Amino acid sequence: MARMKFLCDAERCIECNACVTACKNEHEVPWGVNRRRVVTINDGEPGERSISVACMHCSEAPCATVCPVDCFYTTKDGVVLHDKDICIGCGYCFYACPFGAPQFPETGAFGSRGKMDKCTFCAGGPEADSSNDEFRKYGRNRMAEGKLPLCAEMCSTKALLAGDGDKVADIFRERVMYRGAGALQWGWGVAYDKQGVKG
Amino acid sequence: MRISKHWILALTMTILPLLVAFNSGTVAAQEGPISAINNPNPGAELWQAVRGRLDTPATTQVKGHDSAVLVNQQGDQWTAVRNKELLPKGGDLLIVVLLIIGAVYAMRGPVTLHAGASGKEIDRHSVNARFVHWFLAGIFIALALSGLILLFGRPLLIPLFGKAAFGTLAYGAKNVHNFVGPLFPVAIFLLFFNMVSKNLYEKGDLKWFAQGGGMFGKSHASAGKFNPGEKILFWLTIFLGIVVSVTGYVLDFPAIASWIVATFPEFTQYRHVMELSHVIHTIIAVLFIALVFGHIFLAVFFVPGTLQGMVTGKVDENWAKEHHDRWYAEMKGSAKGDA
Repeated sequence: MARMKFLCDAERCIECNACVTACKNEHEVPWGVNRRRVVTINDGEPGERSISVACMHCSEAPCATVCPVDCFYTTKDGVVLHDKDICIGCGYCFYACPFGAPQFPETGAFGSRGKMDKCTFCAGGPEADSSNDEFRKYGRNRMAEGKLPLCAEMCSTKALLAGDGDKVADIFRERVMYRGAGALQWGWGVAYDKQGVKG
Repeated sequence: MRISKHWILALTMTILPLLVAFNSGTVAAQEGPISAINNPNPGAELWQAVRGRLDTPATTQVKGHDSAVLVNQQGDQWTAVRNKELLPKGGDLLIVVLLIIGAVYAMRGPVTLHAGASGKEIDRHSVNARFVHWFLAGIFIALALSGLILLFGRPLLIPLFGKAAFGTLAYGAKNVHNFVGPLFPVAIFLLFFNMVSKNLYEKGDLKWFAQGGGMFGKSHASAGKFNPGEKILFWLTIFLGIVVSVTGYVLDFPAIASWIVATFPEFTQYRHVMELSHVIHTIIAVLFIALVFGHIFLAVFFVPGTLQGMVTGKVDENWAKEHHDRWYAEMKGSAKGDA
C-alpha cells in the first residue's frame, strides 16, 4: 500500500499562497483556521526561501501520543486523521506537533479552543466517505474520489508534491540530479554552472 | 580490483599516521590556531533556519500562534515529559500515598477519645471559616476529579468506557476545569485572610514535631487551635494554590501566554509557555492532590470528631482537650467562644 507523503521543494516555492487559498476554499475551513501556511525565511534578502507546511502525517505522530482522549488514527495510506466527535480541544497536539499543524477555532467563551482542525491530506474523517457530515467536519474527501490533495495538485511551480512517498521521492531525486549540486545549494547553479544545466 | 583496494588500504594505513604527525608538527610551528575555512553552505544554513537554530527572520501571511515557525523543536521533549514522567510517576505517587495512608490506618486505627465524649460542645469554626473551607474544598474536588480524568483517563478509563463515551466525559471535565478553575485563586485568597492569624508559629510547635504529632507513643502532643501539621497544610495550600493558579490561568487564557511571549524575550514561542505551564501545573496539582488525600484521611477517618468541627462548627470538649489542649485552655480562660 502506498504511504502518502508531502514534500515541499524550497527551490521552487514562490510564496504565492495558492495552496493555502485552495485548501481553505476546497474544505470551507472556518475563519481564523489555516490548515496550510507558507513560511518565508529571509524575506527580501538574498537566500530567501519559502516553504509550504501543513500536517506532515508523521509515522509516529506526536499528536496521537499526547492526545488525552486518543482521537487520532492512521489510515492504511499512512494519513493521520482525527475524530472531532471525540476531540475535546485541549490543545496538547499543538504543543507536541513539530509543524504547528493543529488549529483551533476560537469558538468557545473567552476565545477558548474549539475542536481541533488540521490538514486531512484531503482524506476526510471517520464518517462515511463524501457524506455531508464528513464534509462539514473535515472538508472534502478527494482521496475517496481517487484524487490527491488539492494544494499540491494545483501548485503552479510543482514545488509542493503529495502522493505515494516513493513516487514523490523519485521525482525529487530526479530534480536534485538535474540541478547537480544538491537539493538546496542556493547560488551554486549561478556561481559554478553558467549553463544552468548539468548532468 | 580486489588487489588495488587492498593496496589503497595499505597505503592509507601507512600514510595517514605520517600525515597526522606532519600536520601536528606544522600546527606547533605556527604562532596562532588555524581558523576554519569560512565557506558556509547555503543549504545547511536554510535547514538551520528551518529548525529555528538561527535568528533568521521568518514570516508568513497566516495569522496564528507561532505560525512563522516551521519546526518546533521542543514539542518532542514536552511529549516525553508528559507521557514518560508525569503520567507514570504521578500515578505511582498517588498510589503510594494511598498505600501509606492505608498502612497508617491499619497500624494506628482511628484515634478515639480516651475519656469518651463529654456531651458538652464548644465552638470551633465560625460560619465564615466553614464557608471559606467548603468553598475551597468544593472547587478543589471539582478540579481534582476533572484534572485526574484528563491526565489518567486515556490509560484507565478508555478501556472501561470506550473512546466515544470517554470523549464526552473528558469534554465535560475540560469545561469544568476551564470554568471552575478561575475561581480557585479566589478561594485561596479567602482562605488566607480567614485563617492566617491562627496558622502562625507558636511556642510549643517544635515540641509537637519532636513528639511526631502524637502519632507514635501514648502521650498527646500539645497543640493550639491548629496543630503544626495543620499549619503546614495551610501554608502548603497557599503556596501550591498560588503556583497552580498562576499556571492554570496561563493555560486557560491564551491571551496571557501571548502577552508573556511579547513581554519576556526568554520565551520565543507561545506553545513553549504553554508546555512549561502544563508541566509545572501537573506536578503541583498531583502533589496537591496527594496532600489533600492526607488531609481528608486525618480529618475524616483517623481522628473522629474533626470533621464535625468543620460541618457544625462545634466539637466535643474532650476532643478539644485531647487534641488541642492549649486552644481548649485558652477558650475556657477567655470563655468567649470566638473561633
